[in-house]
Amino acid sequence: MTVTQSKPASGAGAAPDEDAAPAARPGAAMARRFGLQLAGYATLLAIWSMCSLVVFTEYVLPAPWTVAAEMWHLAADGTAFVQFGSSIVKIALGFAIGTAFGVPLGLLMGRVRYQKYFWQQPLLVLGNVPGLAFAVFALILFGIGAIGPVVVVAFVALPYVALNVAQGVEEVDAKLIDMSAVYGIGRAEIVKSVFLPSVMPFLFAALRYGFAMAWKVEALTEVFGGRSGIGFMIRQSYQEFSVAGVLAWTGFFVIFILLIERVFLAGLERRFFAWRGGR
Amino acid sequence: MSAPAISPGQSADGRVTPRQNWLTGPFGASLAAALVFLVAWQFAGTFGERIPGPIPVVNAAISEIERGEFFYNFAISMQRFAIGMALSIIVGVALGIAIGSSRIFDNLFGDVNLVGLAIPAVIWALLCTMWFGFADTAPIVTVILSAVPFVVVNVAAGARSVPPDLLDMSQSYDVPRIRRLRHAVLPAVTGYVVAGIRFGVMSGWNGLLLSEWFGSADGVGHRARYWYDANQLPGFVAWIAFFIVFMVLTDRVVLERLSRRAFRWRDGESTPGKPSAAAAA
Repeated sequence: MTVTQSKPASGAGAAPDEDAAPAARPGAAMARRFGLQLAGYATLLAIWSMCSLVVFTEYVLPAPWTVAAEMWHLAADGTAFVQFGSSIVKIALGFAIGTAFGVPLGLLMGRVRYQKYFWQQPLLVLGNVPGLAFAVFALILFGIGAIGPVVVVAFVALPYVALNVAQGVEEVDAKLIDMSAVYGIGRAEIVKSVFLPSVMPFLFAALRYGFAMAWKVEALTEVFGGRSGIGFMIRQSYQEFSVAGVLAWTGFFVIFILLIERVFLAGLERRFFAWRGGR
Repeated sequence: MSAPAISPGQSADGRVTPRQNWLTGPFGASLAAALVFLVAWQFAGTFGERIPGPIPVVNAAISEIERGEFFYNFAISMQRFAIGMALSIIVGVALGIAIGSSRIFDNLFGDVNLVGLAIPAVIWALLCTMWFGFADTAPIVTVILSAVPFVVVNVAAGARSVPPDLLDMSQSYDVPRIRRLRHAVLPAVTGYVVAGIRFGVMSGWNGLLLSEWFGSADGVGHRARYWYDANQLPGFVAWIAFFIVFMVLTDRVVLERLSRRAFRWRDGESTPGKPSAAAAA
């Protein structure tokens, strides 16, 4: 999300001498940043261990190392990868369906005024539906299985994609299109060089926020009516009253989200926005 | 979301659109959408076996209100929600300002907060049920845990958005601290705080519902589950409708108006409160 790598405009008057030193040696600044991040995680773990050992008992809140052992166990026998794979396939499928419906709808909304008025309120309301409603409706309508999560992800993704694409289409520079027409550039070329580059950032924002949302609602749906996947495993641990199990799956979740955020999405962004010339 | 009053093609040749018919305007179109939805729902209710149509759902909703369950459970849930949100706003604003205004705090906890954003509310709901059992504590803690990261992210963005030039200038002109706070810092931060509260409310409400569904003996989430367990789907759908109406009303009527008010000093071009993250799960 938009937090960490934004400009270093520090607030009130936070020590200008700090800014001067890293500017001279970027390597040291990186190391410092990384060290502080590690320290942040270490603080979290320390608080956690203290709560586990002092405040609660090991049964109620297992210590970090117990959870790590559990995670290692799940990763070693492959369960973690199998269940994650199952969830990822459902999310990807659902997201593809949601995008396939959302992009045309967004284009329509961006071009035709009546369509925009017609769809805007329903889509906003759809975006406000609590995840619980999606999960239970999926269970009622599709029973236990893989169809429910896929449909739910599609429904979660749809409003994000459609609303963002509609906004993107509206913000395409009409003068650029007029100019291209004047210079006799073909329709396909206009779409490729004017239209797509200006809609792309909006579609990308939609994918990014929509994906974070979809991921959560998918897990929720699997908690209610899954037969495989990470949500299903969380539910199983819950029913066995295994706090360590729930925490272990949460840990996988976190690792996965960080990987996606930092590696996959950042890479995609770099690729798609190469035309911007490096930020 | 400012709908362009004149579409770009028409404004070019300076002709004014003669008929601003209300049927094709925003209101008429939304009305048409609602009607289409109702008809589709009725259709699904008539032909689908598992789906209750609109009439049984409305009846169930009315009887639920008449029975007094609606107000009783809403009062209990609102109490939990208010306590949880108040605590999360206090904690979130404090943490957000720390992260946004100090580089060290940003490096320390910015990443940890991202992790908090990523964890779904259902995990918190299940964990809190196991930790605190069936009482008021579990829902309140779930609300806090699911709302705080959203408040923090937005408040931090707000604290970063205070223009340092303005602060420097007011310092050189010897503007007193209080006036500096009032005219330079607060206008920049308030809008983001409201945006953060808005996302926090969405996420926290969702967490509350889940927590009450899994681990509570009263409250709106539990009531929805009661009808679901009894296999009385009209009652369940009625409660889901209550949730959606509540959320839409809070979001659209209260929070969006607040956010527009908080950003009213900006010129019309800039978009108010770009969402820092999506909530509701």
